[in-house]
Amino acid sequence: MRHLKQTELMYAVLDGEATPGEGLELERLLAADAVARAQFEQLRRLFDGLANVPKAFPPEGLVASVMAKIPRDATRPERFDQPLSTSRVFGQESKRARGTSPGESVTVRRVSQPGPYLRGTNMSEQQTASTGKRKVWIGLGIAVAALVLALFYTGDFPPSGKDAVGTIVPAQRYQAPQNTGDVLGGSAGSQSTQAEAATQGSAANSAANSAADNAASKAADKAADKAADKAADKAADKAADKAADKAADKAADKAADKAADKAADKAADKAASKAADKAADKAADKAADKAASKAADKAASKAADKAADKAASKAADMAASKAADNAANNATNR
Amino acid sequence: MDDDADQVLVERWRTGDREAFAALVIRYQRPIYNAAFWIVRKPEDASDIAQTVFLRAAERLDEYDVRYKFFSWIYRIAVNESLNLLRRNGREEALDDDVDLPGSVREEPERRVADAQLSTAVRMALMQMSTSDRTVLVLRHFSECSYQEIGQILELDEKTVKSRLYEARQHLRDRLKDHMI
Repeated sequence: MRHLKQTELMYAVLDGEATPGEGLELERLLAADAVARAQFEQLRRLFDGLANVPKAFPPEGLVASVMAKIPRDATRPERFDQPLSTSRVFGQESKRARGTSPGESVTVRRVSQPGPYLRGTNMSEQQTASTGKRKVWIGLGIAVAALVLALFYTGDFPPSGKDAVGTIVPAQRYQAPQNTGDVLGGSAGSQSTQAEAATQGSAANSAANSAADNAASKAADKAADKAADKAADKAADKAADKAADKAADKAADKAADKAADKAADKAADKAASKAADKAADKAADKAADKAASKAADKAASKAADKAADKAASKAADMAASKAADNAANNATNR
Repeated sequence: MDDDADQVLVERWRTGDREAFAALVIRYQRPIYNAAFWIVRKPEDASDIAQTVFLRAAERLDEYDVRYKFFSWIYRIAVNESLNLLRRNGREEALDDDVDLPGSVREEPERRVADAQLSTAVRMALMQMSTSDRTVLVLRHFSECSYQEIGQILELDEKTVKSRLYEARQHLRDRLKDHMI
């Protein structure tokens, strides 16, 4: 138990998560216990080993690839006004993904799969927003089509002579009582009245035809205008969307390229700088080692020479002295 | 990473600034790729996951709560995507061979031999460990997440994070006994 606590304490310190009190506790422990010191060194070595594992590099073009798959309208405000969406740091799918049963895990489509990625079935909240908008547009389209059809069928368009006569009959019936024999008298008058009525009917017929033509022409003009306006709007929208998409893609690509270039430059600079530093260090170390070695050799050699000279000199002195002494002694004895 | 700068970029992206999102992708592509790589252990899968993570982040930005760190949020997506992939492929257990490790001794001639050997041994050991052990170790040692951040990413309390890290490290030490650890 004590060992477990000690190890936990060491991990906390090495993780940088220990409190100042825990740090002091470990210091005291290490100062007093050689076994704990050895264990701490082992753990430090483990941490160093983990820290020295080289980091992997993502494939080139990842940024551009991601940006190319993001639609231009991915951040339109309506996407963020979802009254039913919950506010949380992690999405619902993330929670579902933690289910232990394989059936509970969500279906994740790979980027490489065909089909538009961001319109997947998993994004029900997005579908609701976009489908709602689409429905409105479809409804509007149907309404406009119905209006045009109604104008075609109920607005007496195109006008025909038969239909024109048919419409004039009630007028004849209405006007007939006004042209009575009381005013014109006799059968001749009656025939004249009929002829007049026919003339009037023809005029009315022609007026009605003209009015119908005008109405039909106006309705057709309006319908054509509306259709042309819509077609123009749609074409303009599409063109604008495409242009904006292209511009955004280009901007993203440029930004990604620039950032990648900068990162590569920085990395290269750093690597070069580090390599230069290391090379310089090594060169300095080697030079120092060699210089020291040579100096030592020379010093040793000089020292040896001097020592030899001194020894030789002393030996010679002593030999000379002895020889002199001996010579003196010999002379004295003689 | 600079959390304030992240929040600024996130807000710009919310208003439709694609360059802001591109900047976030540039900033996090490497850590996200690394986290995914060490969990799924296949470079091509890690690449797919990295792309998926950023696309999901783009389409679900409305689910991101600005009170939390942006990187914790996308790390969470990365970890979940990686774990889902392993589940789908039935590849949660240790790899026996054919492991494509990032970096190698040959690429680092200046590194001292002992360090290089230890580094290789650690990488090999990690590749053989369970997904659960690998995930906490990767988040702590390669992504440099705190206990609290690991807790947010894995939806665990700090005590459980400590406990899982302890166990994972003990398992790693068992595998590195030959290297005096």
